[in-house]
Amino acid sequence: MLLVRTHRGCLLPLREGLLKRFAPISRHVLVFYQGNLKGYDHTINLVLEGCKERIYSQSRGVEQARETGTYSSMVVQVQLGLYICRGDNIAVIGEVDEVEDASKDLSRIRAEPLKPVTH
Amino acid sequence: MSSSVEEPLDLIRLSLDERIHVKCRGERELRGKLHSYDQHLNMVLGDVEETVTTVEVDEDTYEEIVRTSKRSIEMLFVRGDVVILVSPPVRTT
Amino acid sequence: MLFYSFFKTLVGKEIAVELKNDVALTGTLHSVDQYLNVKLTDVQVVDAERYPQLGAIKNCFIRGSVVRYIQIPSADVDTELLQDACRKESAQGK
Repeated sequence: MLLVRTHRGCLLPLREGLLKRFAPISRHVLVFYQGNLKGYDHTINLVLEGCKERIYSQSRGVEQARETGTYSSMVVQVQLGLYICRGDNIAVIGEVDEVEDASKDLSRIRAEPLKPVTH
Repeated sequence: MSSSVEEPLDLIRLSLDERIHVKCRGERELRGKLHSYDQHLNMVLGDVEETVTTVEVDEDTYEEIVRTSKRSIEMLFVRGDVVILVSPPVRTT
Repeated sequence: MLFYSFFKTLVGKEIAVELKNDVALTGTLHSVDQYLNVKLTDVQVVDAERYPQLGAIKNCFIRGSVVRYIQIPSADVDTELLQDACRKESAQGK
């Protein structure tokens, strides 16, 4: 269990139970990050460990990146390692059902890009 | 409590429990009864009718095709940062 | 703080959150904070086939700043109470 202190010095109950696996959704069109949440603050800046970036496309599926980090032109899931995401760019943080997520055949998923968030 | 209008938000206060017109970002317009608002112009509206206008340009003729779609929502919270304009009801008196 | 208090009264109710990128999520309001960030449980994505990216999400946190609208069940809102609270808050602000 990770303790995260907010600017008011308390844990926000809102994020309780979400300290597992996360899929924050960048507001920039089609990039999704997934990783273990190691920390956050009140502006929802996040520290993600073992971060993966998934790029969805209409024409081809999402494929797993190789451990080495080298990937062919078809591979659009990229291993990033430890990442810090700035809160401004985050729209939704969802708790990932790892079993369901693992059962998905990413190579078959096609998705149109999300619209950008226009403030 | 006074009913005078000294600052812009007073005008909105006087529109409480009245049907107002709200223009929002993204070519969206709302009509509904104002139940609540705050200094950010966050609002709660009741019996809302939302009108979304989209403009498509025909690739061949470059004609602009304007479409409007409407939907009704019983009770809606609107975030203040999408609000462009608030228009109180027309008063005849 | 008016809407923070307002949403706290709606905890446990079914709401639909429409984001500024046109994605809509429905779910049970689990909690809300002062920024009007919300946490939803039993999340369902509206038009889920279009957004397979969001498929595996059951519970989620939505940053308040990306919210456009929140649809609320009107039966759960005491509009008179809400208007009175709003008048009080506007009088306090002066």
